Amino acid sequence: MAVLPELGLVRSADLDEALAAVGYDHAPYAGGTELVPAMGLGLRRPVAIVDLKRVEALKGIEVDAEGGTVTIGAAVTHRRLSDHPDVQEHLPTLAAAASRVGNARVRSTGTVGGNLCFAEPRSDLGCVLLALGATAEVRSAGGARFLRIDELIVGAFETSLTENEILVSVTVPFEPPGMSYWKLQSYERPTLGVALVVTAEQWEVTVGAATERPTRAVLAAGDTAGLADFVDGLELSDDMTGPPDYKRSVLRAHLERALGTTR
Amino acid sequence: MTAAPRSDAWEKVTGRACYAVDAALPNMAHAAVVRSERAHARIVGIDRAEAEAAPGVIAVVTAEDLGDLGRRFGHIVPDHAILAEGKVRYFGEPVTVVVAETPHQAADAAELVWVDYDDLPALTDAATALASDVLIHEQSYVEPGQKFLDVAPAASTDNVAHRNELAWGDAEAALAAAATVVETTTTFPLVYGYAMETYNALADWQPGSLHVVSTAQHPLMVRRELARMFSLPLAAVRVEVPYIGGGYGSKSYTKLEPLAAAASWVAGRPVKVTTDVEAAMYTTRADGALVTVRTGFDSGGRIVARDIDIRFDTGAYADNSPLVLTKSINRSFGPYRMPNLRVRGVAAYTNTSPASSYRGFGAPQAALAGELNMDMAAEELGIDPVELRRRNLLAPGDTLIEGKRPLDADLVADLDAVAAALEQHAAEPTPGTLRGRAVAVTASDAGASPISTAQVRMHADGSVTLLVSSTEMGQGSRTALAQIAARELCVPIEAVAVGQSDTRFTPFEWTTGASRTTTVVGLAVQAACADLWDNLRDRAAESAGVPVDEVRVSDGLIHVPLAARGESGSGADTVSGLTPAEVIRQWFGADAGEVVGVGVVRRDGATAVLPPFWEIGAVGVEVSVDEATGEVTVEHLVTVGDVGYAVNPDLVKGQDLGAATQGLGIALWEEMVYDGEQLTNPNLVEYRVPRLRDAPRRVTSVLAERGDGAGPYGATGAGEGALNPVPAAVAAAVGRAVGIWPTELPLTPPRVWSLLQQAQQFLGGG
Amino acid sequence: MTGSQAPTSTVVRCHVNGRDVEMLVPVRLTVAELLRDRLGLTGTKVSCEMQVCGVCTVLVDGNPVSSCATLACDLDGTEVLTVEGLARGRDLHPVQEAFMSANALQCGFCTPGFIMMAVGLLDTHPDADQADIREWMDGNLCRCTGYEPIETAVTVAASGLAAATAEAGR
Repeated sequence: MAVLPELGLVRSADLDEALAAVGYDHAPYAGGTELVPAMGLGLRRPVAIVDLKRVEALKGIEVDAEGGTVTIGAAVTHRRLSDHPDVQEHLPTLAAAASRVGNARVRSTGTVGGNLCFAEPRSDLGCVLLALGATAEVRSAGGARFLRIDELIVGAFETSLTENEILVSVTVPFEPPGMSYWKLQSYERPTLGVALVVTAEQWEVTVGAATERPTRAVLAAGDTAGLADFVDGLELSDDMTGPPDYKRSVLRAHLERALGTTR
Repeated sequence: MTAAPRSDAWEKVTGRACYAVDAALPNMAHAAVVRSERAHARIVGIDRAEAEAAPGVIAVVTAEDLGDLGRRFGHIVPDHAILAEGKVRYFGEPVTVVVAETPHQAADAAELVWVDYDDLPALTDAATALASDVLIHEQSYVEPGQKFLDVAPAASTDNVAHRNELAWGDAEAALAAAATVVETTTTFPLVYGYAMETYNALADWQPGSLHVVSTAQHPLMVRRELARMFSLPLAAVRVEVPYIGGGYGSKSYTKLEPLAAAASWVAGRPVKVTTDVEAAMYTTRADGALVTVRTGFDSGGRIVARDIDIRFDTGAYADNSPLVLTKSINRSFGPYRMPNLRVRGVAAYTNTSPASSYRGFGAPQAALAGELNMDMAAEELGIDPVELRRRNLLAPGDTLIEGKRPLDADLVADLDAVAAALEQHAAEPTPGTLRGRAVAVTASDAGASPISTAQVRMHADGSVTLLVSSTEMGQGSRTALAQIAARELCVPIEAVAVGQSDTRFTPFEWTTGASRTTTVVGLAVQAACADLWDNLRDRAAESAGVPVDEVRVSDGLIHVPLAARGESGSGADTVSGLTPAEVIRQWFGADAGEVVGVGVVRRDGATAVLPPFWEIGAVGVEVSVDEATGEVTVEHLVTVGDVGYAVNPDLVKGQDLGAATQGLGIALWEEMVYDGEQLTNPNLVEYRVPRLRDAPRRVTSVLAERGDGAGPYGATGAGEGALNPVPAAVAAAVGRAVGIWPTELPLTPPRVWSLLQQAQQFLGGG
Repeated sequence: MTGSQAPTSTVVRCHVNGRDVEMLVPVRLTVAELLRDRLGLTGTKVSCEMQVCGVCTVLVDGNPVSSCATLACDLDGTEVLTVEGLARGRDLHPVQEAFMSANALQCGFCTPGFIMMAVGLLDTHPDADQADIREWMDGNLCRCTGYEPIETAVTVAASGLAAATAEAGR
């Protein structure tokens, strides 16, 4: 059995304490779903973890009916997200995607913030949140920054967070009509995820899991040439779930089916 | 027989069952193993000073600390270093073991051991290794004439772990004259026989004795090796095997026990060694195989000859692979009439995890090519694949291999049962999917060496303790053997207790493998029960003061002449039955004592001719393939458990479905992928095994009970049979669905998609 | 913050199977290590250590978690339920009964994890249907049975509990 390395613990009662504590060898810690196995494998070696689970500011799910948004705290677990009535009402696709992340144990402990900040490409939430036009609030002791999801996640396992910043929440506009999320998940993690927002005027296509970070295109409805260019231009990963050609082919087939186009 | 509930169910659902990993001893220390980070390299130096100074460290052990202990183990070829000596031969090989007070301290200190390597060329596949002048083993460890069973290992140093052949007739001439020759080459992946309890061992060396608790399937084999390495008498080495969390052959023979024992010898403390999944994948895997089959048919679709080449990737140490190769050869040509045959096999050393036994034991590797070849031939000959097999299958009593047991099964009947079930539920593909069906049949020389002993101790109340050294790893042996003893002794199953194997107390058992337990150990239990009845009869006669031939046993009672018992009766032939408990109490003169029966199986009587039985695999699958994603869904799985007689039908069905599911894993998902020197998927995120959602949409499990086996009540074994043909059947079914025959497993979605592309190009190109 | 003085051990207070536990634990100690090595509750097993296999499943405040990938310090203030805590004296939990009657185990190493997952599901979703059961139980691995008997066991337990609930509500 693997053994974790020696580890310190900082328990933060509020966000200010947490912001004062995090640093290059002090890793923010909430669900531990990604961090604990990564430490077990020796991929991450923080001196201490900064426990964010008691920081109330990170745990809220709040609806702004006027603004038409839901703000989700970074330490909200997948289970709470998927089971929350407001999320189910205003963000049904996100709720459904969260209800199928990992397995029931991962959903008990894993958090929205952990999922985004670990930036594992083979993931669902980043793709769905980018498609929804979510804004991430990132804080440091010096202040706040507001980022699109594709500004937060900048590569495979790579975010634009500095070591002194914490992702506080994501603010998500209510789901527009015509949204769907589909994924191919032959392995433990998704091979390909596709979020679509289809209206009479336009096609918004967001691709995740097979790309280093979620990637979005907004096209005029019926612009099959533009769609083909987007699909052809995607840099798709080559891993155990399949080579790029395979993923591109699956993506094309799904888009044809979902958008009612044929070759 | 009867649907007896598992005797271990309560313990297992309450969490009270004790597994090897749960074992502890007073004053136990913990080990962390420093494993090689090279596939092939000379060890230039090991710096352990920092580790030795770390908190809680008791000892940091390298090969040079092993004094006069035997340094190497291996029951066929003693090539396997306890700790790498001079050089490492695979990524993950144990180099140093750190012993400390706690697991945390051991792991922390292990990070402070610095090993300096001088790289050697890494030969990570069989073709490279066989062609290379670089030697993985510079010397042979085989003494002239050394044999294990009938396997004489190669005494060569040319990266060949073993070479063997089987031939009769003139295959080359027959193939030249055949009306049709069909050739098939397949690649069988390197697979990890993932047992959820990973390898572990706890060892306590004391002067003159060695006590080990481990996950060993074959405790007596381990005892033999430890006794040799530690220069101890067999009786001084005690190997205990409590419940183990799955074995499937992967825990056969010696694994971590020498490492734990050597660490205990150096540290002077009991030492526990555990593995995680990554270390388990380095410890043992199954042999990968490249197999080519050429089959010649006459104009009527009858086989005239087969020529087969088998090349194993055996990894860095031989372990059991020479025997696996030998069995693979025996199992390669199918249970078909074979006028002419030539099979050549070679097992190559490579710089990868050592390969050894895994459920099926060479049969799935060979059957993938052999049975796919039958489907390809059926297509070429324009004959239905079931009919082609029917024309060639051997009949009951036929000889597969000269000198071996005649076939003790009805293969045509089994195949027809499979075909009928498949046909009954055949369905049309839904839009966007393709469908294919296939059958496959195998016969394996199973049961291993018929050497087994059992002891039944009947107590003063007539209840029984059954002692065997068969390992309970989930197959339900304790339940099935208790059923046999209960039936033989006419007692309820609740009156039979079966303990764990413990070489200090339980009698000799060759192995727990090759699907042998119900058949071979079952015969030993029957013999022990017969011996017990004889002993009871002797005691009854002695108590009554009558000649033993006047005492009869029937219906679970011992009948003694009434006159002899001092009771009035109408004549000497009037008898009254005594229960065994009464006989025991009478003889001891108290409510006390016990009578013991011992049963032995050896190469004699029912098991005079090897193998003890032929284990049959007869399966069918219907698959659907998603044209867009290449995902394969198993719509229907059919298994036939041709077991002669099912002592416990639920247990047999459990073996069949479990084995077939592992076969589906090999067919569709499982593969250890090496990228250069290193395993790229040493975990269960990347090494994907079957999950609940992969389970076949429909399962038909048929039991064929024709009473034709050599075991108790006509039984033969189950356990491997339903795995063996599954990879081949899935490959053929997918091939039929997509229109191109696969040559390589696993059939992952991208690989099936690639087959679909090839099929389209083929069609497009005319 | 650098030059950390962050403590490497902490006190955890929780209930495990109803029993009070108060213990100074290293921060790096996992829940599985706490249960198995410190509390002697070896019914909880460990295998994949990647949250894939589920043999280490325990319920924390009713939620299933992977005990091998959760730190013991996170148990502070929680109610923990392990396989040892399911039976009431000699009476097994209905899920345990169902696993026995459906022959849903062989080697048994995965059994505690499957049982705890099923309990976690049925406690919160007593009306779970076949699809719910399949999705939820897909998060655990079994290498022996081929899953069919396990699915049957959970289905049987679900319908038994649903019937009992209906009875109680009458």
